[in-house]
Amino acid sequence: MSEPLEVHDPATLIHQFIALTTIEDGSNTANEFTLILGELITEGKMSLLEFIQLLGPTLTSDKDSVRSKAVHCLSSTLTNLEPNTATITMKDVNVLIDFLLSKFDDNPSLQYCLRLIDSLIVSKNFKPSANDNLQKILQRLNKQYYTPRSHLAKVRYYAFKVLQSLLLNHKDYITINHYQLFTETFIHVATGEKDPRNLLISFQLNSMINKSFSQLDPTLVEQLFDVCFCYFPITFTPPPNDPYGITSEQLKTGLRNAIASQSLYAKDLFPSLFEKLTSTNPTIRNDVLITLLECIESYSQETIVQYWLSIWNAVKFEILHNEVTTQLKPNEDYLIPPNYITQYGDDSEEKTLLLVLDLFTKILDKFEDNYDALKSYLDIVITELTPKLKGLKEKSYKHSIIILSVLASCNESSFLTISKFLFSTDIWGKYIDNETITTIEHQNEPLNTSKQRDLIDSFGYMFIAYDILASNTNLDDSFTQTNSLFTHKDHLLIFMGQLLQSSSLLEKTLKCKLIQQLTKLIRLPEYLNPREDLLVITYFNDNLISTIDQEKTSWDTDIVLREIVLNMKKLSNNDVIISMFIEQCLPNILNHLTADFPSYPKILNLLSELVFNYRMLETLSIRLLGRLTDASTFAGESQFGKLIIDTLVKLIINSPESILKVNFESWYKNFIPRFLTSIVNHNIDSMDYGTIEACGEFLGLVIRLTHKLKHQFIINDYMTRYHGTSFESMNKAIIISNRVLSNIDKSVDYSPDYTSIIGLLQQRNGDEYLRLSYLQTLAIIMNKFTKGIDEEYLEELYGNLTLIKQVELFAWVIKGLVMKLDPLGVKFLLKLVTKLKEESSPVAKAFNIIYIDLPNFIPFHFPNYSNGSGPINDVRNLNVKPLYKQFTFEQILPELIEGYTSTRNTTYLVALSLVLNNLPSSIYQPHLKQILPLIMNSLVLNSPMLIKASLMTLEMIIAEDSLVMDQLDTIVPRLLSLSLSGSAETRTLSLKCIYNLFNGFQPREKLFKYKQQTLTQLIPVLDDRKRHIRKIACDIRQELYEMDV
Amino acid sequence: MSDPINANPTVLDVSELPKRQDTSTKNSASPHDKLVETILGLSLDSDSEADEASKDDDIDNDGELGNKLEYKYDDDDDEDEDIDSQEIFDLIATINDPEHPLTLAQLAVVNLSDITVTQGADKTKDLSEVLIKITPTITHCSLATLIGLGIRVRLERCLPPRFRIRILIKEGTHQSENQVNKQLNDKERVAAACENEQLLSVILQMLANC
Repeated sequence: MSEPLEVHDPATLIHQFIALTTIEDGSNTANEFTLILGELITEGKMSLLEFIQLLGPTLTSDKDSVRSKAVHCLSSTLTNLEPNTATITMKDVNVLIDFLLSKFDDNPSLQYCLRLIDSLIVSKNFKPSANDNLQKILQRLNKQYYTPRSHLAKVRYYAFKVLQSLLLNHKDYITINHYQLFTETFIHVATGEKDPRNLLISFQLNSMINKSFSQLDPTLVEQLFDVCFCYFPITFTPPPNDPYGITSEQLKTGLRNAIASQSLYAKDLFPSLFEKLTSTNPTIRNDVLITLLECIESYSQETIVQYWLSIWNAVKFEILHNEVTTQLKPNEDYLIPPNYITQYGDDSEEKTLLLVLDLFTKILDKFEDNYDALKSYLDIVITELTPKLKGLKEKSYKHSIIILSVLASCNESSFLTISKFLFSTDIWGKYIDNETITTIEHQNEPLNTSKQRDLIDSFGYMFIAYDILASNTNLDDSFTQTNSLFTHKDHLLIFMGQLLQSSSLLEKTLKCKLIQQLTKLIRLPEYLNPREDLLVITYFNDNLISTIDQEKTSWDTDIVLREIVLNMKKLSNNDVIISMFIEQCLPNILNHLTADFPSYPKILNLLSELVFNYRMLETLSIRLLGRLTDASTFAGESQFGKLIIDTLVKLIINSPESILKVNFESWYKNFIPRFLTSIVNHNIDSMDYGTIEACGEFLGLVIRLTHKLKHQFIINDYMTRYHGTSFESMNKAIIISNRVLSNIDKSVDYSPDYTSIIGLLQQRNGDEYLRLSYLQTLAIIMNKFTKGIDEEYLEELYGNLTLIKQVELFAWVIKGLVMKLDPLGVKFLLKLVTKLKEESSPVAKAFNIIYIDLPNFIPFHFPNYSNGSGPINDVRNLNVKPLYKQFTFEQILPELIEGYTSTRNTTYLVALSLVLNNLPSSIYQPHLKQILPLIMNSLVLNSPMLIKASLMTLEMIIAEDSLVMDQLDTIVPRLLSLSLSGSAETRTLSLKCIYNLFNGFQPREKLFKYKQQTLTQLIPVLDDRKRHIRKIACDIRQELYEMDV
Repeated sequence: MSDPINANPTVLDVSELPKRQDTSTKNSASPHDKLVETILGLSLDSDSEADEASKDDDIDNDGELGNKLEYKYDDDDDEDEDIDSQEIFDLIATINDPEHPLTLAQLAVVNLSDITVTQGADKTKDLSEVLIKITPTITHCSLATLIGLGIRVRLERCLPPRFRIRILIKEGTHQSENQVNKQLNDKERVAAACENEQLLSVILQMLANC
């Protein structure tokens, strides 16, 4: 094959093409030949005339296949030429067009003829007027010569393409000279078309014709309409392997665009569409409505003026008689959801409703500059809806209000008209208007609660309308001051306020609705003045306080209270309102914050919920801080003081970046001294350790958030004023000092004498917690405030490890050192492992001390900051290497395993499980293979502590690793026996392990053989003394009964 | 299954169902009190007379490890929690109704007040009894026996064997009360029913959310 290609002899190439190409071929072979032929022509090695001469005999061959292939060759070759090369002259074009048009009756060749014509039209030497080319083409495609039905879709496709290219490239020429002929030809070509690909072009051409030719003959318009509307509503399911990837949506949009492109279609279109609206299929109805929507948008104003009434009459029942309870809520920010077309499915009834509403607004939009039309439209709507608004319980009351509100939201004049109507005495005036209220009330039945709710909801829709209007247009003063919503403002406020204040506490839904709408009123631009805002806030305050004052313990979940909190949050970006709230409500809530008020913890919760901006945080913090300096706060047994501090800490830690802008420096200056004096110098002796820890945590947090530059001052100031310079006797204040030391920047100049603490700890002393606090101090100092420790000194401490006390002290020293990965610390940690070989050594428990996470050694976590570590102020308060646990664990693990295997001494197991319980599982995951046998060994030992620790580890292992699979034979019976004996905690833990085993594991087949055994052995557990243990046993058994292979 | 006969029953909200009130207040201890406990747990040298230590069994009073050979059975700090009617209610409340996508408690088929637990004098020897009266949603409910069977299966799986389970139709709530009662408490018939594969699969579905 390569041979002839190199010859580049045109005649041979043509013969090759005709011989090798199959009929329906767009294959590469064909392309290669025609490309080379094209090249020859472009390079001038062969003239077009020569080419045609060479083709000549085949072009006139008697055989259909040869002839059509010859045309194919001609068409492909010339189509492949660069469209703008000058190789084909104007004359050539004319000749070719004539030739091709003469071939129209040659069916097999027609497809190639059309293709070539299409590409010629695009070339620059095609002149529509020259040789009457354009007219000739159109005539040929018309009735006498071209019958679409007798050709394949593929052939028809090129006919459409020719028309499309003509209109795209020579629109002006056609518009002036041949629009009539073009339209007729198009109608002829498009009639009866069924292929989706062709239909897409047909719809496009239809809409282009309508947009380009303004003076179409009415009969032609009618035919154009028929040629597109006959497909409505179009449905299409793409066949599998559809090469063109046409979607049903493309066809629908194309058809809609075509229908919407011609105002003159209205006459025939609307009646037909309305007829289709009677369909019971919601998909079709929605399709009709979307089409109507587009037509209204694109048709001329005159057309809509002519037809709006029939549209209104046709579609109004879709909404007025719709049984669907609408999802439109009176407390949203929109009436028609912005993305409803995509949001709801095609068959959604809700979508029908929204489409109709949208349709009504589109009509109104069309009339924006035509006052008369607008007026008559609104008049009709109002007149027709009036009977439906007679009473609140009328069937279509809500939908009528929604229609009116949607229309009111379109423009100022419609809002004026509609609000005037709605606030008239007949509709809303009779309920809210003081002057008329007395005379009319007796004629109507009085408003009951359910009607009141409906009324408030209907107000809500109008408020939204105002809001939408205000956000879309710049309202001028004359509008904002004269609309009926504004002129009835006082009535509205009084009416709603009275309802809120006077309705019974049981009418919670009504109250909630009122709160929502009053909030909405505050948020309406240019509506309430500050005095009225304040009035609403006072209403809120009264309801809030009376809810708290109810004799109910669950006041904090009361829906009215929740609603107020929620709505205040909506108002939180309005500083004026927040100030009012702070002035009006906050003091009243704080009044309830006393140790005597039974549910003060709930008050604290409520207060923290109300912190939605920086000002609230600051004000509330200051008020709460004030409480802390009050001596009575910490008096007695109560948790009052501790809870206030907890709340403060939580408030600060949980605040997002946008709110946490408090100046902590000023806190330290103004408030902390008073706080510390009150606590350290007066109250501390009567406080329990939990409270002191809480105070310490708070102080630590404030220091952590104070700028680094202040830290030197703080440490000096604190130490001299509250702590004293040395550690000569034990003092409860050490708990607070620990937090200070832990949170102060590590660069401050402070070098305490740790030997004095050690000395202090060597003495016998009664209080255990204080001793442990001093041990923590020691660890912090070792960690942060010593430059280096003498190896000999450590050796000496290590040598004395016979006494429990010494072990403890040594452990804390090592903890401080190991956390900063001090080489000496690590060295002595390893030495400590060797101590485990002595049976019953207390050393094992030292490992818990070394690895446990305590607040003094971990940073504060701020969950609402992206980095979790809180505001950046350069404070580096901890000297803890992030990988110290992993690093040291990798070193001691082999020692522990080796120690156990050689001595069988349980101390190793105790130490290991204590370490494991303090490690994140990711660290020991790689070592599970080695660890698991040891855990299994611990489970059979008779040490409750060891068993507990091992069960905790096992639980984590079960949750994460399938390694236990191989050990099931030992694990299951052991866990089952533990679940029967042992402490409540052991029983719970072992049952949890069993549950996780059977619940999470795949493949389950492996577990199936334990099913019966477990079921039987759990029966006694069903009678356990503890309810929660029985519950887990039930759950496991239920899981097992459902288990199947 | 054919169309439900009672297509529109009254439904209780889950929040309205009876719950155990004393959700243990112990757990609400403040984080700082927990911290104090944790830190105390770190002590190796607790020489106080070990009130603390006996509560928390991982602290050895004597500073020695691993030589406690006996489990403490009495470390469960407070008294026994007996099986009571609320516990029975919790066990059966979540059973699905065979024809509605709702639970028996939501349909008020089972009610706390209709559950009676009679404890035997000595747990180890005497029989105890659970008596449950179910209220069918309508008086001709054909599925009352199925519901009763479902409750029985659930309880037999979850209660220790010393309990005898009696399930009755609440007086005056079903046309063929006596027949159903007989069927529900006839050992032979229950056993036979439990061998019916198809019936078991229906019950399995009813218990799926338990």
